[in-house]
Amino acid sequence: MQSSIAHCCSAEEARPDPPSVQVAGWRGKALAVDGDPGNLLLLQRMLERMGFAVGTAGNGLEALAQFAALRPDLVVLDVVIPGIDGMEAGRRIRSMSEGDFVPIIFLTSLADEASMMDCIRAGGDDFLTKPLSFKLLQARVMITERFRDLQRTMAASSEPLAELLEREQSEQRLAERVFSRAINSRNVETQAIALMQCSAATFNGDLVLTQGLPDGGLRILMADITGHGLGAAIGALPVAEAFHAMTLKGVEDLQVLEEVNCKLYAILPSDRFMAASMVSICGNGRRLTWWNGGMPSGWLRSRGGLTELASHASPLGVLPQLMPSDAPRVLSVQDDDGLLLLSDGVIEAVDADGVAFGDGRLSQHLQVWPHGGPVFGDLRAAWERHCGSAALVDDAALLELAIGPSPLDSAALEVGRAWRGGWRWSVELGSDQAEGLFPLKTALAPLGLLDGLDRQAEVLEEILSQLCEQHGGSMRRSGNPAVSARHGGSLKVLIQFDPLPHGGRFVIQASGRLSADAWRSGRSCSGPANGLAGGLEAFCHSVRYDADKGMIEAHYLW
Amino acid sequence: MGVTARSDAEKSQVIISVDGRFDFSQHKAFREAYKDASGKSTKFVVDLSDASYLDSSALGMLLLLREFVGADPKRVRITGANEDVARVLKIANFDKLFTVG
Repeated sequence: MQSSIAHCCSAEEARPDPPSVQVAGWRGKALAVDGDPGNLLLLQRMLERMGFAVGTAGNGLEALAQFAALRPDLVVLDVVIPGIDGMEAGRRIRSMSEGDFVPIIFLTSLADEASMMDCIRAGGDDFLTKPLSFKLLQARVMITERFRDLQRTMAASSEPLAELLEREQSEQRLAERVFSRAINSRNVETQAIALMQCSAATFNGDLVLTQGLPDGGLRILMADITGHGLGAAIGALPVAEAFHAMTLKGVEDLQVLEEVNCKLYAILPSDRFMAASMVSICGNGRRLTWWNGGMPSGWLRSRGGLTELASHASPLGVLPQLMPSDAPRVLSVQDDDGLLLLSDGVIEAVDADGVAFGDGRLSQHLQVWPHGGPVFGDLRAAWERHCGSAALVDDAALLELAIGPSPLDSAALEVGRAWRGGWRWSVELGSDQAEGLFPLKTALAPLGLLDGLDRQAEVLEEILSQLCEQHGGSMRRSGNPAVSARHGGSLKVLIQFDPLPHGGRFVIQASGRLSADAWRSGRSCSGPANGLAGGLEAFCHSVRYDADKGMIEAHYLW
Repeated sequence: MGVTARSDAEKSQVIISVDGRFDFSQHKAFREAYKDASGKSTKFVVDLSDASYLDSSALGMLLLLREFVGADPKRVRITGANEDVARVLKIANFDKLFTVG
């Protein structure tokens, strides 16, 4: 097939083709198909002269077999061949060539328009009428080769593109993984928070961070970084780092915001920023500090009604420093108050007809939000019904916090990760044994628990003694002898020490089996306002009460 | 739909009008509208009368313009914002970074 038999054409047509007619098949492989052996030989010679290595076939089936075996770069196919006709063979060859473009030139003696169209419909790229002219065939071959080269160039250039796209997607997934581990693993778990987060891109530009404060309080940051994906993740990681580390140390809201702003201003380009709202509830659950820079209004449901926590500050990362008017604001809160935070994705989410959820629908839910009850469930359900199957355009985050005496319930404390080098010690005593608890160091020192805590040991002793006194006091003040009987004289003490980067923290709990009624009546006349807990609260970071558990808990930091 | 810039050499002022959705798709056109002006002396008016919507990337573009004029809030005035657009600007506290109105 690849022999370069001397051709039988005229001298004029014999002019050699550049660049190297000597090398058989320099132009690639061609498949010639014709039912007439004489015509087939002529076609073969012509193609060979052009520089092709030529395979031949005399009928349709043979053509398909040769095509599969040779994988030629060009097919020249007579329409009238025995067996499967030329059109059908062309169709099958087209489907066999898959992604690669193999030009098919049909040969026909029927020079009417109908057969031309049939050739093209059958997958032909061009056609020639018999008798064959070498010049015409050469011209057609060159044209189809041009198409083939163009197609190959395009295929080659789209390959890296597809590869790039695939790599980008896998990096997005990786970023999401790293990100959600780095962030979510550090969020606190508490039943006081209901949270919904939906993401438009693989990576969520909305951030929701929660962290316990050393006084037993809770801080929440909801933020929306402009953009999605990796771009948004770049800003999110340092924000999360700063937020968690500083909150754990009990750093004030303003300083945390300043630090986050400073970090974002340094790393983000000018057109990127982070809208955020931050809320802190202090350990005794009486004071709420809020800040809103560029987020939709948050809402506080208190006994007296709704308070709007509207954006009053610039988003973070826009200005080198926060403006003086950007300072956090403080509100008094009570048990059973509720807080709702949301990102603009909630309001702007559209249904299948492009209608946004909107402030109106949100407002309807806020109006019927009962004090002491949830709004989250109904609001979320309504929002999800609204969105239906419509694709999410922006990330959406919705969070409700039920404010209570201990936003971080004790369960969270008990399973909380202790810092390395920290410890927890507890004892349960009968009431007549409580005196025996003191001095505390006789119990703790032999275990080595007070090593390096010489100065704090005395304070610890004092706090515990006051706690026990208050615990007993609240029982006594209930004025009901039955309470003491039910109480059964049991006192449980738990002391936890957490070393912090620049100091440490004691959490001291005193609890007993006390009925909730007795506790409430006790508490009502022993609140800080009456001065009883005043001594404790003077040097403790916070003191909190849990009526249901009959517990007093003090946090001391240094 | 799009961004058009009109230069008023006498007042050394450039008026940039945004029509339709002011979002990331306008990024290039918006930048083109001011990049050849002198950032040191030109005043800019961003006319949002015909802008139906503004997203956070549009806020980012405005911040780039603000940077271009050296963060002087008096040199960029944002006018004609409809209720929805004005609300977005207000929430982002852009009235402190630009002259709005």
